[in-house]
Amino acid sequence: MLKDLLNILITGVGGQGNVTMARILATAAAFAGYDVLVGELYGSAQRGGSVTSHVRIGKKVLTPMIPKHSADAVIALEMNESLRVADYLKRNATIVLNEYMIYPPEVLRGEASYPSKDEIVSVLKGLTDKVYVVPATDIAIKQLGNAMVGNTILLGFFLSVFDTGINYEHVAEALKVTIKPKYLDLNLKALDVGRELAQKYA
Amino acid sequence: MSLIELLKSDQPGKRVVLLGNYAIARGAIEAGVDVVTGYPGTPSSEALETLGALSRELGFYAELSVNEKVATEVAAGAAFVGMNSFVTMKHVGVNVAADFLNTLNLSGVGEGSYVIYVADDVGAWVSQNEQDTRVFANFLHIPCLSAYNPQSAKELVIEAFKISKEFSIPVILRTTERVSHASGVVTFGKLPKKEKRTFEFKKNLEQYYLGDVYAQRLHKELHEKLEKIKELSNNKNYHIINEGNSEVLLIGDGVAIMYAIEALERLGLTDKVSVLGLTIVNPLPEKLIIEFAKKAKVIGIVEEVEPYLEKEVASILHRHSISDVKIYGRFTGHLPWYSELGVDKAEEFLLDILKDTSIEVEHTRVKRLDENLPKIVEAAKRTAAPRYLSFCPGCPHLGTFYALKKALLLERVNIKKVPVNLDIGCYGLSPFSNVRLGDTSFCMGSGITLTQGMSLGVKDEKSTPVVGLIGDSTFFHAGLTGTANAIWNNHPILMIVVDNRTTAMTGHQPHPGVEYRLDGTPTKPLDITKIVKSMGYEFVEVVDPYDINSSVEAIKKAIRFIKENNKPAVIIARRACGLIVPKEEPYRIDPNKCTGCRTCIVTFGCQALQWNKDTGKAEIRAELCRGCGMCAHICPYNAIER
Repeated sequence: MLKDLLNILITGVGGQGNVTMARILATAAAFAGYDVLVGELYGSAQRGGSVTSHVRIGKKVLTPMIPKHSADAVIALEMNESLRVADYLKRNATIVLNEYMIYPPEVLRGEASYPSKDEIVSVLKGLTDKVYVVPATDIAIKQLGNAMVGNTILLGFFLSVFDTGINYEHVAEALKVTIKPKYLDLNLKALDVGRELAQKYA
Repeated sequence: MSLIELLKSDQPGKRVVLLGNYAIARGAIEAGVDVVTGYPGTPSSEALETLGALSRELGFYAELSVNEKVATEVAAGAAFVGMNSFVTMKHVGVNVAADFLNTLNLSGVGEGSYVIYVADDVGAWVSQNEQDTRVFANFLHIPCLSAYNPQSAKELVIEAFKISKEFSIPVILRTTERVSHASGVVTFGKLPKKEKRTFEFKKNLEQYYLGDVYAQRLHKELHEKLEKIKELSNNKNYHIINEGNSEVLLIGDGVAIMYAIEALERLGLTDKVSVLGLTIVNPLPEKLIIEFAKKAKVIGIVEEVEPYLEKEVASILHRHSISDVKIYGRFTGHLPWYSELGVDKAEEFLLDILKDTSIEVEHTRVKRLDENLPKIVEAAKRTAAPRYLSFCPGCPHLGTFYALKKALLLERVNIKKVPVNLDIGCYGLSPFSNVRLGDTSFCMGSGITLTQGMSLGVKDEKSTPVVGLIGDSTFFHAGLTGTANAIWNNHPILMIVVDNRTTAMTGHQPHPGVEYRLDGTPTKPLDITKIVKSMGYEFVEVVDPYDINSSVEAIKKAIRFIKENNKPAVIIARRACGLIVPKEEPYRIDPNKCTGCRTCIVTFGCQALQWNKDTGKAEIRAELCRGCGMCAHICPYNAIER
């Protein structure tokens, strides 16, 4: 069933495919009959900085940016980045974390420290019980031979643990119009891998 | 279906999710555009790029012009002979084009039509400033439409063409990044039937000769046109209207007024407050504003960047002797003078201004925050490792800056004192990279000219030569004049052209130094080396930034040349952006040779170089590495190999 309004954040590091993932989700939502607006918090051609996509789907969506403490869910393509968007999350939001870390230059130079997986999860648990850690990039490299489809694994996982009112068919259809044809099969496979992983958590 | 196929499909009524810039491109196509010109600039670039990709097939012309001034002039020439012209740029592009636009307003656009799409970067996320094109349009006496989402942007492009044609006047479509870089559901309209048309220039000296006796009459005629467009703008169908007959009225435009409308919904006030969301913001619909203002006691103005509407509405009310209304906005301290608004700020604004009214607010806002939430958020922010922008893996600029720093040090130049002036482009990220070189960054072309001024005063051996960098696209956009100035006036500077064979920062558009145009057709590239040599520069050397050791030697030579001869020298650091060439086999670090000294990570710092806590050695992430091999030059133990 269609929801009135859902606010979903996709956060990560520039170059991780964050914007493409938002486009897939938004397109699937439009196929499901939703109105959609997607905004980016910081967006430019280069890589390496923090990038967050704001995906808003609902019966009528007025603005592209999610207000503070209003996000129903976050998908973090890089673990540390989930912490940076904590002020956008509602209590009891669903949090899906890619178990993948890119140490920023500040950390590598020894000027800042990078939190451990347990630290990240424990801070987020203060907000919600629904914190899922998925080694998506790792599985993508080992099982499917392509790191980039880690995002699609996460998407499959997310759609299984969070009720968006978007069907699998809508997502498959969205992949067809947003992904290069030669990568379509791989992405459909990744979507299934994500869905199967979610079964294990259920 | 690819994006390009989608955008050219003639399926009226089709609903698709489009980036605002794609919706704007589609709008121009639906409006029957003949000529597209522009210079890329975030957040406007995708509109130009897409129109370039579609132009040949759909039968219109599109070019990436050398800069915005040239773009507005080429497009105007086309309009003068009867064509429909569309120009794209970011907000600061208007500064470059302003000289010409301040005459085109007078001449009008002949029998053609002329729309300028300008995207404002509110918050200066990827720009040197926050600048409000509505104010510029008002100053230029150019009608200005303001879009509030991707669909409205598409519709307003079409409307802008109609107004331009009817009144023979240039029209600006102003957006912000929350429209241009937002994706939303857009419904397609019909594509125009392509008829074969012929164009001619109808001579009319009194219209096209700006100056002398004609300018005054043209100025008078311009204001007569604007009066007529003002009448048109009073049509309620153009605007977002909620005639609540409330004592509180909100006036605004763009995504700003949408934030306020969403805030009203969240506070349960939709039916209690009147709204006038404007899509024509110059000239303003004076009658409509008066009609609404007469019923109000409190007016809240919701807009981004400048208090443009706030000033204009006050002036309109004053002219109509309406004095028993309070206007709230930036001047009253209720909205910030910088950065973006959002639903949160709009909510605060509403709660603030409603205090002086009889409207009661149930504070739903408070319910969203429980006692512990701020503490948890604070803990999360504190735990998060900081992450700023950095060069991409495989970025030749990183090699150039590394080599420059090393050459300066080897030539005993004091890094802490020698000025290094940057410019607009990816190389501007250098101060935030591990090389940490770079002291100034202003606007297109200013790096090499600031350098010249500095060289007049900075003379001591340890602080010279003063260094100025400029990108390849920037060189053609605004660097040619500065380059001429340095040699003609003989400023002893080190000028480095960082030529990565593309306009990288805006998403890899071409420029006059490459072999293809915006629409993909082949062309003869302009050779920066030859240009500089023909100007009379005696020291010009091309280096490959991936070959760090040779780059260091060439820069050292240039520094010596400048000091010995008191003349400028040019280094051209040429290597294609790492993102536009195919990824090559990744490098790896031999753990037996790596001593864990961290030299690669600390002095160079490519993102693909990561630290393995368990082994205490550096490693290369294969999925991030582009295979450029620069780091192999850095490692003191030759541990990096492929």
